[in-house]
Amino acid sequence: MKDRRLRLAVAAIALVGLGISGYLTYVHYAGVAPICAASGGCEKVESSRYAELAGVPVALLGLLGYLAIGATTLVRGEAARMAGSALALVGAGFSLYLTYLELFNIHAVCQWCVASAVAMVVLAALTTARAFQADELSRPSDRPAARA
Amino acid sequence: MSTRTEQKQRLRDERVARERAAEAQEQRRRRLWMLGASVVAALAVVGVLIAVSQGGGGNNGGGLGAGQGLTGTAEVRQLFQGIPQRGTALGNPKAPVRMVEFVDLQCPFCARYTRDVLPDLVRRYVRRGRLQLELRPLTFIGADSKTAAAALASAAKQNRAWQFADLFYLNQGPENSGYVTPEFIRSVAQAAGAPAGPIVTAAQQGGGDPLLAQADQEASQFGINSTPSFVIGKRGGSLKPLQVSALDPSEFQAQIDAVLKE
Repeated sequence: MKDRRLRLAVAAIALVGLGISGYLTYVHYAGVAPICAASGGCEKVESSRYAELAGVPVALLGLLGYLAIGATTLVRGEAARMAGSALALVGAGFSLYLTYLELFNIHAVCQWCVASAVAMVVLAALTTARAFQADELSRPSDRPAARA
Repeated sequence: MSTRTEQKQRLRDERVARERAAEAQEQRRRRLWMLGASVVAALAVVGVLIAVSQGGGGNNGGGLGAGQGLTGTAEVRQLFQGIPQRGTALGNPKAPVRMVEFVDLQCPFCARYTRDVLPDLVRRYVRRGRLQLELRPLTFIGADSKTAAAALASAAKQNRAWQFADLFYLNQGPENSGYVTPEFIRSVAQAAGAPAGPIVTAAQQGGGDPLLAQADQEASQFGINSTPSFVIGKRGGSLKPLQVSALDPSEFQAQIDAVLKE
């Protein structure tokens, strides 16, 4: 039951992250200014040299990351849980690095990027908790067949 | 008193419970180990991503080596990769809008424009074939400007003017401090992906390139007395000074969009 709740929470947050990164990917390719509360902050971040990684927009990498993490909630098994956790840990680490760049290198804050970073850090915590939960489920007494 | 069967059952239950507890503990230990391994692997992947993001990802593919010790080599190559370049012109030669930038490679504001605005304009307009950019090197600031402009004119002959100028800005030294040495020019030229020999020679010979005379003549024509200055217009039409109050991408976008709509 607890795993089910965690799975739903991971899926929901991955969906939120998908929305944010999808929007930023659209903004990048459409060449339009992102809707931003801080004046020009998002635009400055989006047009900085850190907006791409080896020619690939960082937003697109985020989109793929959220998709992959979301997909791990649809697959049963320990490998999927571990993969979800590893992906989210990579995403969270890189998001924290990007947030550091915003604050101390680009000197501009994009609220979309910060929201995505928060989503990724929460996902890292939830997916890791989910990976720990796995042994609770695998106990024979917890299996539905054992209860019947 | 329990019967012998009950005693046997109890002992069996206790043994099964112990086995399950041991199994659960083993599973927990194994999972913990795997999670630790994923954390280490994640840290390694993040480290690689950061190295790539910082442009420290090893071979830059130029085949000409060097550029080591220079800031921004990978970023500059990435920014201009695949964009047509001829002489000092960058972008689609049939782009509906032309913008000419008057620069002095020693000018710190030109460097700021290159850092803060140019990448946005390249991604937004130049890559999409809507804007062609041109450079006009001036030599307002001093002796190092003349050496730098001569080198830029030579890099333009190898269609590497934009990479050369960008890398020069990103590694700019204090004005007229004598930092524009043959070694500095060689390093920038190589990082720009151009054979350095002719560029270093041109820099040592100083002025005389027709591009420099053309830049001076056009600067007088538009009344330009500071850098960076810009003129913009529709292709085939006349160019007009572009007025901006700050080196902010949005200021440039507004003006470029207005010319595109004309």
